[in-house]
Amino acid sequence: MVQDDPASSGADDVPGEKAAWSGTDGQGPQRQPSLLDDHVEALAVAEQVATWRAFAAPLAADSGAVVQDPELVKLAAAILAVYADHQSRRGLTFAQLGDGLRRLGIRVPRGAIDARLEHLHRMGFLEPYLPKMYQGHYIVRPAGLAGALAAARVTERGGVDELILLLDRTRTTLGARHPDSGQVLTHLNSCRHALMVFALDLHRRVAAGTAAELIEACRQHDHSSFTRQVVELNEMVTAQFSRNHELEEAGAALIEAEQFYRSQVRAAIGKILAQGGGGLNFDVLTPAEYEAAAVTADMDLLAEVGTGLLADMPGVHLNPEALIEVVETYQPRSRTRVRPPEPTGTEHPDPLAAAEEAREAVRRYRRLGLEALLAGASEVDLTPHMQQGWDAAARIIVDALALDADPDEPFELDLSEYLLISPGAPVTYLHPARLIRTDIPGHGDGLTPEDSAQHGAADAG
Amino acid sequence: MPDSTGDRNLIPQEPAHPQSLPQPTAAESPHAADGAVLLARIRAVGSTPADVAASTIAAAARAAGQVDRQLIEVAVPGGTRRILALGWAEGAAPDPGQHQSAPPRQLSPVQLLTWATCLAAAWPRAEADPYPGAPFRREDVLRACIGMGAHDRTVVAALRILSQAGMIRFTGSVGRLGPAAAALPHDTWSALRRMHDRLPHAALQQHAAASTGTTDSEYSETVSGARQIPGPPAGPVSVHDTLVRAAVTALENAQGPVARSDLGMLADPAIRRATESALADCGRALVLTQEGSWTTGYSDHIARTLAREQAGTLGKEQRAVLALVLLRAVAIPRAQGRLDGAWTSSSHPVTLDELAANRQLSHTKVSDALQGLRAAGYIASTPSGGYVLGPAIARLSPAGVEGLWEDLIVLARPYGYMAERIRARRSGTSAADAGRRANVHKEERG
Repeated sequence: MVQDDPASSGADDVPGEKAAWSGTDGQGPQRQPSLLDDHVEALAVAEQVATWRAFAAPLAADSGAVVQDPELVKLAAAILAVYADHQSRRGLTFAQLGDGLRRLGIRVPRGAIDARLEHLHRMGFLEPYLPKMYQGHYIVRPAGLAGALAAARVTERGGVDELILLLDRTRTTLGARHPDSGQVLTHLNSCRHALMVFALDLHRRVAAGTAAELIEACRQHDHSSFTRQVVELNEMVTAQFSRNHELEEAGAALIEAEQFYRSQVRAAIGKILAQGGGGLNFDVLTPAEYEAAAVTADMDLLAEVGTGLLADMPGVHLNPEALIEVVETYQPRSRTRVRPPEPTGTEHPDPLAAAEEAREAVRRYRRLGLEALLAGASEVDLTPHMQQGWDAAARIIVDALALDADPDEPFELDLSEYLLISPGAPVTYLHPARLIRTDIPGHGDGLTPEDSAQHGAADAG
Repeated sequence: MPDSTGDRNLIPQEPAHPQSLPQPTAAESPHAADGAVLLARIRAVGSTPADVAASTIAAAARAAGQVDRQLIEVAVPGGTRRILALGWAEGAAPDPGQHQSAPPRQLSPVQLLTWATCLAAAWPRAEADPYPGAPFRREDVLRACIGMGAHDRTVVAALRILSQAGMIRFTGSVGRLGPAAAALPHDTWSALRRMHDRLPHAALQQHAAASTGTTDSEYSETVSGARQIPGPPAGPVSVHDTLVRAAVTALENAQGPVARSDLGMLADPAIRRATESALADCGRALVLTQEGSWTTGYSDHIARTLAREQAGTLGKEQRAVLALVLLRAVAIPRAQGRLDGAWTSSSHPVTLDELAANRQLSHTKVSDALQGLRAAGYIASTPSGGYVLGPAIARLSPAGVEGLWEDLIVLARPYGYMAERIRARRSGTSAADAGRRANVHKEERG
């Protein structure tokens, strides 16, 4: 595990910006954190940094050129997402990039983001949209995109993707109508070099690696298709350049390299299996592979699991007393909701009549309430009654409005337009209101106050 | 098991075997292995044909006798074939209250009610031999249980579970008591005979009057009884032997692993060795789980033998669904880092919908397979309706667990070097040959 001395960190590292955000995917089930988690996380970070150092070594001017915080590398990939999501086609300013990164859930301090964007600009990852000074809009240079993606990929697959890419590129070159022998030779040699590098790394891991390193190696290198691809490449070389001894030798050397590589993969796998599967660790494959098998594996493949398993259930223990008790007292658990009892018959089975009766009762109660406020007078100021509380105010105003709107009721509501505000009163603001009874003398209907009182008494009765 | 003349008169009416077996001689010892396979087969299947060598039966009876068990030979209803089941020695039976951490397997109330109804139908007269008893109709039992207040679906499920447990057996719609009923302890049958009049005869007669086709002649021709195959002669049992028998009884009849604190006697190396020896004679092995509890499982060589014979193995669809459960409940959460510790007791439940997400398996197939897996002990249900690994997974030996892990690796990456290496090791060929065969298989699959 290679880790830099913090003192030798690159000049672009920003203090205090470590691990302030947890990635943009927001996925992954959560579990109870433990002290061990911190240790595992530290190891994973160190492994990532070591991989990037090796990855960037051909490009770096000194050993401190690689960042120490993986979150800063992820930030570069997040910038790609900001550009993809933004509507602007003329580049983005640093401010827009900062806003976009925060929308993606990145919680790096603003100063740290600005410093990082400035660094990416200096390195050419971000370049001005127009070649003018101070125009302030930037786009990502495609090479920067490749770097950001490769940086992420190299930590996931340990560089095996490069080998796959080399093999594919060689196959494409050989598949051309008129393949260039020089180019084919270069590609064959590149494949051989890559295989040898991986084979030697595996050899080291088998000899001195930890169980975790071996499991990691198995996850990355357990692809038996390499053998088939190399054999096919060799056949293509023979078919296309049957008399080109240099290419045929290169093809044979590639096969030898693949055999050596394969032997090292098998040695690593054999060591894992000899150690009981690294404690029967499921990390030897990726979660995606298990998920794919759970969805796409066919019946025959699935049924190869557990062919040696035997039914192993104990016999039933029977308690005769419990048996008889169940027979005599069995009460099933009800699974259906029990209906409430049928209501008894009413005098008015007609629902419309019942509704009409209920409406009449409500009107009568309202009338009685307002008449109580009138106290036999022809009109009354409702304001002091409403100021007693919000409940009373609401009830009074609703009753008065309802009876005012009812043409059969002899009530009028005079609602002021101005607002009465009383900060210390239970009802802090209201519109003053007066209630007027229109069926008493003085309002043209010929009724005396006694008649009115009798009317109310009859209603109350 | 009692017969018509009393509770302890199952001694053979035609004694083909000696009343008591002599101690094994040097010439007999090779039969001990066959006896162990026979006992393990009974454990896996519930019964085994009785037409095996007398020496094998004698060895099995002797091994069973060492752990308070007894071989019982019973007739297969409707035929002349006889089978062997594993009953209990005189006065022996698991004690449900002895080990709180792992009580013996018991029936739920509705299962008890259903079996009581089956028993009442099969055993109308207390003085008769209850096994195999009279045939009864599924419909009659169903109607009687529903008449007593049980829901039809729960009774149907109970009939299926009782059948899987060997307590009853159905041929079409006609059922009889199963070999597991014949193997119930003597004391249980004595108590049932005393309480015979309290079985649900009335409910059964009320609903079965019109439909039953059972006749007395049919009943009488089935009363062929069961007989115990005697084990070693009874003799003084030392405290040491008592402890070994108690430990084996607890381990073999517990639903799952038993806590160490419940089996303190196994901390004594001498008792542990004696327990292992007694279990080995029965084809079983003592297993210490990763959580530190005790349980038992099949010895590796016995398991291989039974698997070759396809005795008690899982069906194709059951294996496929178990693979899905293992992928969902074990492999995926562990590869994602969500779970750690021993994976044989995974507590991560999976739902029926998750399992049926596989493109090859419908809900119905998955559901049917889950029932079989539950009966075999490999799946258990959670109160929330999910499925977790069952107690039989914890009974696997270390080699069995490793084999299952390898199966999952081969399943998830069937054409990798690791799968190739695993196949080669199992088939005893070189990895290259195994790889070639895998690639041919891959090409055939397209």
